[in-house]
Amino acid sequence: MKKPIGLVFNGVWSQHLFAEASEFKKAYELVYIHDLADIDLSGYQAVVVPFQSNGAAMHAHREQFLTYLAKGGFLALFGDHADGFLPDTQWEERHVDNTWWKNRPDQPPITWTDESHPLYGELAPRHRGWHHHGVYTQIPPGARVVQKSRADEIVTWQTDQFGGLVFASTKDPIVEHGIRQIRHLHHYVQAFTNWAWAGGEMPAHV
Amino acid sequence: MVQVVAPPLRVAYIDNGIEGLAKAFQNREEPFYTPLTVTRDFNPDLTDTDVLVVPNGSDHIAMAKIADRVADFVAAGGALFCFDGWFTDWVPGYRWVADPDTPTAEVRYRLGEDPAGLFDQINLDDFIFMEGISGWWACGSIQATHNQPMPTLLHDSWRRAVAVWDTQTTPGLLFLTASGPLGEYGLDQGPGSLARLYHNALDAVRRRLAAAACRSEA
Repeated sequence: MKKPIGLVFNGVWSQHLFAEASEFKKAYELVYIHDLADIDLSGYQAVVVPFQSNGAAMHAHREQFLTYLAKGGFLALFGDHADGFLPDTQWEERHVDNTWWKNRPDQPPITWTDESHPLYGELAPRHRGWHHHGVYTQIPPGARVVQKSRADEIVTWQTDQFGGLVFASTKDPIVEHGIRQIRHLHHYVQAFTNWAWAGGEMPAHV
Repeated sequence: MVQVVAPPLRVAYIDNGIEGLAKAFQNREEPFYTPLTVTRDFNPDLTDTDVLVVPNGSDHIAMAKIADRVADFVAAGGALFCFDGWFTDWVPGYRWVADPDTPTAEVRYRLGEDPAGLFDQINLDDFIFMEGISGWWACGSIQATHNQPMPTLLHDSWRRAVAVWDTQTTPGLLFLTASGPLGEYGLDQGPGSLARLYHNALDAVRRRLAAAACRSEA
C-alpha cells in the first residue's frame, strides 16, 4: 500500500535522510525520478518535488504530472525550476541569503506572507520563512501570491487552474530538514505535511 | 631526459540535473569537462576520463548502479573526487556517515596529512566560517572500510575525518569530502578558497599523470 505523499527523489542524501526521519517516515514515500514511468501518481494524496530535483527528468515527465493534476492531485514544487516546468511560469536566480539571521536579523529574506493561507495562518511569523532559492518572475494568470521577498518578488504561490492544487515555493524545506541546519524548521515541515496529507484542503494543524 | 607535455586533463562530472552544475564545471581553457548525465539507463563510459567528479547534490542511487565500474576506474589508476554524502555503498574503501545533529556552532577543522600541498596558500578559516557562521561546509564524516591507516586531510572538532586524500590504499586516487562542496565556484569573482582547493587537487592529478608518463617514456 502506498504512503500518502510521494516525494520525488533525485538520489540526493538530504532528500533520503528526510524521508527516513522517524517523524515523517509514515507520510512520505520516495519516488525515484528515473522510475517515474513505472509509477501511478494517482495513488498519492500529494506529490512533493523538493529542491535539488532533476530539472531535465522532471520536464520529460511533465505530461504525467499534468495528468495527475488534471485528476485533482496536489502537487508541491520547492526550490528552483528554471526550465519553466509548468506552463506560464518563469523562475530566476537570486542571491541566496542564508546568513541574514545572524548578520541582518531585522531584514528577513521573506517580508510578506498571506496570513489567510491555511498553511501559513497557523504558523508563527518566525517559522514561515527562511532563505529562498531565486524567485518566480512569472506565474500563471490568476494564481494566488502567498509570499514575497525583500525585493517584493514572488517566492510562494498557488493555483488550481490545472485541476488539482499546485503549490510552488522557492524555499527548500525538505532538503533543509534533511540537513538539519535550521533548527525551527520542524514547525513548518510538520504543518506542510499535515496540509499536503489532506490534499491542501484543510487547515494545517501544528 | 625526455620532455613530456601533458595533454589537457579530462574531467567527467556526474550531472543529475540540479540547478547550477553547469556553472560549477564549465569549460574554460583547461580542464576539459564532460557531463555524465544521469538517466534511467545510466551507463557512463569512463575509459577516456582522468578525473571523475561527483559534485555536491549528486544522485547516489545512480552511483550505486555503477559501483563496479567506478571501482575498476580507480583500480586502473583513475582519480575519483567525491564532494557529497554518499549514503549508498559505492566509494571503494570508504563510507560516509550522516550526522545532522552535530552542533554547527562547535564545528572547527584542523589540517591532517597534506602530502600534495592542497592547502598551501589557503586560509582554513574559509572552510570553517561563512560570514562568521561556522559549520556551513561539510556534513557528517568519512570512515574507512579498509584496514590501512586513514589518510585524513581534514578532521573536525571531534577528530572525525571530513576530507580524505588517498593515494596509498588504491592504485588510483581518492579525494573525498564529507559533503563539502568543491568546484569552480565563484570564479567570475576570482578564485576563492573552494575553487583554489579544487584546482590544487587537479594540479596534483596533473603531476601524478606527468610522473606516470615520464616513467612510461623512460
